[in-house]
Amino acid sequence: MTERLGDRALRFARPHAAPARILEAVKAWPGVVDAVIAAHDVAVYFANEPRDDYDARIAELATLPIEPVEGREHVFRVVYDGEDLPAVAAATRLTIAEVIAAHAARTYDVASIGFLPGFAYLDGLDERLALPRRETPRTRVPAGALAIAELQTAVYPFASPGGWHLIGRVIDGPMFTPEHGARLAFGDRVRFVT
Amino acid sequence: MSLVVVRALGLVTVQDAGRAGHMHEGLAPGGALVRAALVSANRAVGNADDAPAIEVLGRLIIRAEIAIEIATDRMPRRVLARDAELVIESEPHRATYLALRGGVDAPRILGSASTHVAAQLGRALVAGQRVSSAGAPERVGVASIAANRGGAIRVLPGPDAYAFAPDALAALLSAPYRVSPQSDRVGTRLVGPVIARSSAPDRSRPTVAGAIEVPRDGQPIVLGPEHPTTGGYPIVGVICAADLDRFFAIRIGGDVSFEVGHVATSRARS
Repeated sequence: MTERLGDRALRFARPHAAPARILEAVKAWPGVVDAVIAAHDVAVYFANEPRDDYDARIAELATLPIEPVEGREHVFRVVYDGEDLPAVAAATRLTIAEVIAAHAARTYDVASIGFLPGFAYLDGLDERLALPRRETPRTRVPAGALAIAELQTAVYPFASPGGWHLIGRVIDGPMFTPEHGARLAFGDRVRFVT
Repeated sequence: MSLVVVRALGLVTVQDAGRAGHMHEGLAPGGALVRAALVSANRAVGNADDAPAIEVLGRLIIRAEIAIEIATDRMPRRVLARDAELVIESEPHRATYLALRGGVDAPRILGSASTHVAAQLGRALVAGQRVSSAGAPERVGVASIAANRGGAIRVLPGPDAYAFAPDALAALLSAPYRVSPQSDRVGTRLVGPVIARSSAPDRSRPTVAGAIEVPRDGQPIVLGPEHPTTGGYPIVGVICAADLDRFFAIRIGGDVSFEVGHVATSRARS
């Protein structure tokens, strides 16, 4: 179902296609200036009120391939010293060393981008580490913090409030820069090393 | 020509029309809070409509290093002597713009000179800082727009009706809301009738400037130019694009009423 998000944007359920392909397709539609691919939805933003019927174009997105496009490979250096490591270990019944090993063993995919500039929700977390978000979010999480929640991990690009569990910090550079914007894009794969 | 910032209170930044095209990487377009006032200040000095200018949300005191001519929308054109100070206040409106003939000289980052606080693109102006124009000019323009024209602000209901009690929209339309001092370029907080939520959980979904988000306490937040691109609070309605300037021009402490607008009839109103 297509819903109006005001008079200059449409929102619809995210098709099961690779997000980089969805993004490329919708940005080529006439009049489109922006798009957001969130966990379960896509929003498409227009310069002016969209007057055409976009339902056929939206339906076509479902025919795009699910296979991810070839993105970049990132290896982020991490210090696993997050404040929540002991609590994560206790809640998952693992040792701190096992939590770190489980997190560093995986390769992650960019699932969606939002919340903050350059904040990428990364899929691929070891199921043993899955925890709900903190009941009380922190009022300030520092830039570079490496965190987990549910089946995802993420790096906070800027200091902000946050409800994820902090397990460490990325030490080799910002996640969003004025020169290049977001460091991570759809199709990219990410590993974390100590 | 240079102007020197003597004092900046509140939030004083360089703004133009913003940087569209980066929402997919988590960056909202940003840009002037009240674009019509930016345009008006720029036109007063013969600039292109969207030339970078200084947005004052609060108060700015500047000193001119040479004599300058000031065109404002509030008083007759006049000349400010060299070394005299000029006070620019957003009151009684929410935002006032100071345009320099030739445009404020500021680096363009990702296609725009707009300061975006959350993304650390550019910086708020501080005392002692110099502001130069990109041209060679002895003229500045100052402009705001009054918000108290045109009546209620038009809203397109939805899209998150499932997350609200049946009378939520009626509550939004029932009485005026007051613009809270806890408002910034990210969000404008409103205080007024409680908009009741259903038991549906928060879901992180795409947002848009002008979206009226409602946290559990029922007091709405209208997303501004630097909004997060996704948000967990459901959206009870979205302000019509043609009414965004009138809404964001309402001063802190001022009142706003909403009415239901309709797609394809939401033309500019003044």
